[in-house]
Amino acid sequence: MAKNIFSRIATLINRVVDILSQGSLERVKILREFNITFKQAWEEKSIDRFCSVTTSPGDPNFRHELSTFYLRSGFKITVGNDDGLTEKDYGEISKYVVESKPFVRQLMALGYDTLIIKGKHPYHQGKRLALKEISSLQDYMLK
Amino acid sequence: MNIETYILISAGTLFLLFVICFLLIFKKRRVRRILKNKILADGGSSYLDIAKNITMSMSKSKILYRNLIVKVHPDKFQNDKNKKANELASRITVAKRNYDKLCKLEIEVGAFLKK
Repeated sequence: MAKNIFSRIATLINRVVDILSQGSLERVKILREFNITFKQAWEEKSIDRFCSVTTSPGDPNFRHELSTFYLRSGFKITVGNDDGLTEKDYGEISKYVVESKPFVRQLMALGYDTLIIKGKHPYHQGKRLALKEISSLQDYMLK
Repeated sequence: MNIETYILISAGTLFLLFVICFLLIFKKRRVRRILKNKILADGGSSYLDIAKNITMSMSKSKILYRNLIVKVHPDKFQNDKNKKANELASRITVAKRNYDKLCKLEIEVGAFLKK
């Protein structure tokens, strides 16, 4: 219960900081759209894992030109019912996200530098990916 | 040089440094904003479409991929058709985790099989 309240407060603070620092609702919008879609798909039973998306601390080693402060640079997908999920499954989920290069670039433009796929339980390692290794901003820098 | 002049020069220098720093930070932020807007505009699809595609890919792309790859297996075709089937099979394999792309390829496969 206490953990749930703490998580809600952290999400609220993150949203306020997003709005103030970016001057736009882009990051809030992307998280909301993903959460609504995942929830709908779960309710319609089209996916067997309930996923939710949040902003979380990223990896300072994965920084790129547009990275935001590392405490808010992680795009985290949490798998709610992670029973029986192996490390390989986390890798498999991440592949669906990184499949679209333009989307990865959009995430990078919004200041994210780390893609995190994690389960609810802390003993699951999950998967951390550097977005700059999937797609590059170099072409845009040269233009 | 008396003390007032000294303070005045120091304050002026500090102010100048502050203005230079502010301009540099402002310029850097502006460049970042332009770059960000360019990338977001190039992204094309809305976040909702992307989220839907990822969800559909997680749930349905595996089955659709299997169906399509069986239909265009190059061993089933000969000569010219074999070449086209090969090309389609490789494109299907590349898009195996992207439901939207697989749906577009399904139409192509349908047209190819009708020929």
